[in-house]
Amino acid sequence: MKIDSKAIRELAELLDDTGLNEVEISEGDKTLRVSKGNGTVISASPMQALSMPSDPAEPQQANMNAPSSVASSHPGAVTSPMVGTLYLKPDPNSPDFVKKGDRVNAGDTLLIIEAMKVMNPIKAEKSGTITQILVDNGQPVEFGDVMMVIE
Amino acid sequence: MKFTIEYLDTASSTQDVVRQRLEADPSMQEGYVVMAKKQTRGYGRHGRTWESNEGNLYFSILLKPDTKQQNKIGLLALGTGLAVFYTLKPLMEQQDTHIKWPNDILVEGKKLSGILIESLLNKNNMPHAFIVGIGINIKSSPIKEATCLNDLSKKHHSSEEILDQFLKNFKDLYAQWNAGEFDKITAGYRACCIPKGQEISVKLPHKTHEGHYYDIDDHGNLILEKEDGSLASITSGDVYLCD
Repeated sequence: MKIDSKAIRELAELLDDTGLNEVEISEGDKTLRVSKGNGTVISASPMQALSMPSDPAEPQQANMNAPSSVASSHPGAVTSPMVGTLYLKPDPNSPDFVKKGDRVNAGDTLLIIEAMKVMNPIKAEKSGTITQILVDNGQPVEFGDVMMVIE
Repeated sequence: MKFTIEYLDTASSTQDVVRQRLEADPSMQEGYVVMAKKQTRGYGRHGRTWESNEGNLYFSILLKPDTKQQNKIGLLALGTGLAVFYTLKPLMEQQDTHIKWPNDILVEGKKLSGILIESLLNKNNMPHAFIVGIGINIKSSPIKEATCLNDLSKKHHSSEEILDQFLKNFKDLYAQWNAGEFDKITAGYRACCIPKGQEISVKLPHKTHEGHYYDIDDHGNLILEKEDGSLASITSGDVYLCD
C-alpha cells in the first residue's frame, strides 16, 4: 500500500485551519480520512487510524469502553478535557483518587490523564458525591468522554 | 525568558519543590528552576521511581505559557527533548544517539535522560502552568538499561555546566514554540529522532501496538506504521525499540 503522507499532512493542516475535527476525501476506490479529537491540550486520540484506503477501521478501545449511558450535558458529568490515557490512581500501588460514594470538594483531584508524558491531574469542578465512575484505570479517553458523575 | 535557579543539596523531588514554591506565591514568574544534587523521592511517569543519586542532574522548570499555545503542548514536550539532545550530543562521540518518542534520549539504545511534564489545571481544568522535570545521567547509570554522560564523553562534566547549557538551548526552543514556529521544532525533531522504519512496540496499559516508526504529526503525536501498512496516531504509550 502506498501511503500519501503529504496528503495526510495537508489534511491535518486543513483541520487546524478550519477548526474541523474530521475530513475525508475519496478518489476512485481510495478514501483518506484524517480526524482529530477536539482536545485542548493534545488533538489526536491515543490510538487512532489515520489512513485506511482499503482496510476496515480498527475498533477504538476508547469507544468500546467509553460510557454512553450518561450524556455529557448531565449537570454532574465530569468530561475529559483532552485525549490521552486515563489513570484513576497516582501510581499502581496507591488507592484510587476517589471511589463511588465519596464526597469530594471542588478542586480535589479525581484522576490523571496522560498525553505525551504530560500528566494532567483532573479536578472536581464542583463539590458533591461521586455517584458514577464510568471509566477503567489505564483506558484511553477522547475529548468530551464522560468519566464520572458528581451529584 | 529569564531563569531564576534555586540550588538544593537534597529535595524529595524537584517537581514537588517547584509546586510548593508556586503554591506559596501563585504570581511566581515562569523560568523558576529548582535543581537538586540528589532526590529522595524522584519520580517519573505514573509514580515510577527515578533513581536520584548524587552526581546526576535533576531539575524542574516552571512554565506559564500563553493559553492560545496550549493545544500545542505536545510540541513543547518534543521541543524540550530536543533541547536536551542539543545539550548532550556535542559532548559525545557516539553516533547512535536519538530522541525516542516523545522525549527520552537514547545512546546505543540506552537511556541517558528522561522528561516528565506535569500540568497545573485551574478549576475549569484548563492548564495555567506546567512543571517540566528533567533527569540526566551524568556520573552514573542507575539501571543496566541506562547509560551516563561521563562514560560517553572524553571529559567529565558537572551538573551545573549541563544545566547552564540546557537552559540556553531551551530558551531558544521555547521562544520558537511561543512564536508559533512549530515547523522548526518538528524539523529539528525529525533530524534527531529514531530512524523512520525502526521496528518499535508501543505499550499502553491494556494493549501493545507493534509496527514501525513512521513520523510525528503536527501536534507531536507518534505515527506508527502497523504491520498491515496502515498508519495510526498515538498520543500516549511507552515506546520500546525492537532489535
